[in-house]
Amino acid sequence: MRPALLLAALVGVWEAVVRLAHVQDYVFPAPSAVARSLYDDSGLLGSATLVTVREIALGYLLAVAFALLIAIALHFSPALRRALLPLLVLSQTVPTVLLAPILAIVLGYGIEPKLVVVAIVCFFPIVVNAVDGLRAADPELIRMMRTLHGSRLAIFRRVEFPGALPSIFSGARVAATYAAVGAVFGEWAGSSAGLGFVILQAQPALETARIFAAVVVLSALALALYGLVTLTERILVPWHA
Amino acid sequence: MLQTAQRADVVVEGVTRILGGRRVLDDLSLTVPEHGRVGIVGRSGAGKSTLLSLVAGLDTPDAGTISVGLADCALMPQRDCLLPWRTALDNACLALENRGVPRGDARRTALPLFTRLGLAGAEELRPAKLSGGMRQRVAFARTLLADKRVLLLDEPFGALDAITRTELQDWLAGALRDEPRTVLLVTHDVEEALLLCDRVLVLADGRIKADFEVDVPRIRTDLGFVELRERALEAIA
Repeated sequence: MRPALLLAALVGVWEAVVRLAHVQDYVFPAPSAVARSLYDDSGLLGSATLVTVREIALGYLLAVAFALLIAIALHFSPALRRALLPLLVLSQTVPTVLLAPILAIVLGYGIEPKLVVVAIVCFFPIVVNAVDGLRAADPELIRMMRTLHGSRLAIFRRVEFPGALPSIFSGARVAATYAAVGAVFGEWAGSSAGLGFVILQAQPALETARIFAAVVVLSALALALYGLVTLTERILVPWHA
Repeated sequence: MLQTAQRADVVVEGVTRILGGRRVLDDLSLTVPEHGRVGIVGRSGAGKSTLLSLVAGLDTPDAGTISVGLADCALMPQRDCLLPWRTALDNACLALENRGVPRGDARRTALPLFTRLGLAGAEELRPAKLSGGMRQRVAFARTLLADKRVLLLDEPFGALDAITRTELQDWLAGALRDEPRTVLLVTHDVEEALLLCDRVLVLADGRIKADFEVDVPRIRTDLGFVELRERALEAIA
């Protein structure tokens, strides 16, 4: 309840400052102007949201699938882990903003480059947490499994993977907050639809309130994805809650 | 003696294990007859757990031979090591599932044992909902269901409070009477070893220092039992 109260207070202060200082809407819109834009532009924002949601959802799923595959491969091959993990860390120093235009050139202007940008942004926190979670398995549990006919695969399925789930989900939750930003970067590098595109078009038109409205929708999407991931964790990892 | 007539099930012959430059086990030999129960007592650091790891086949000796290995032994570790994501019954079924038995069949096999071990009603509870004593019982059920000839018990009640511990010692004595197995028990609790085993060896500095036949009634207050316990305690000190 407290964060909601604080947020309401901040919005109130923002509204008051803009009104009292007579700031123009196109310079810095008051929350009421943003709310009006959300209502007036609901058709435009609605169809843009559908496009961006698709990019976020598919890109995020792509990231989860790849991150788990790579994490499992790295877990089973220490040699691969020593070789690839530093490179993965190194790859994080390349700003995604710069990758997006290159991806647009290589993959065209369809949904594909956006998915790849979202996936790249979300991939890293999941893979790193998954690798750590898999390695953190209690050695005593593994010894116990070995005396109970436990093959390498059985130890993975019954001990290491379930044990890594809380860690995998904390990575997935961090990634969920990145996904919306990734989609916007992807759209900025070349697109004709989506919330990022709406922002790009509103800027030269000085439709500042609409930019804010699009940002509000993007935040709501990120929050919704975060909530969905948390809910999935509650269902799949009930022993940890 | 009865023991010499029985087939030796576990034979440890001249085993030496060096860890970090220290001879944790030094030319150690012992045998456990089939369905015999041998207890190893000693202070912490005497090499008890190292010995169990070697017999379990989880570690290899620097010298000497051991007649059994990973295929023959099931280890019940000091901590119950129950998987928090599995219910009590599914935890007990681990070995069966590891062997490829379908989950439903495994659960049907484990169910009667749960009743025998006093675990009825706890089948669908996760370990977090079980008391320490119940968890240890589930761990024992899991070890039994591995269906191995040899049970290796490593301080099975070390993590329990004194009252639960006493209760479970009596319970385990009964359970082993019903499910006879070859048992190697490691503990620092002399009384526990005397209650559960027919032979108790005192381990110190990697060697067997004393060897006691438990030929007295296994009653904590019996005079013969008390006297044997005092002798064993002296051998450790």
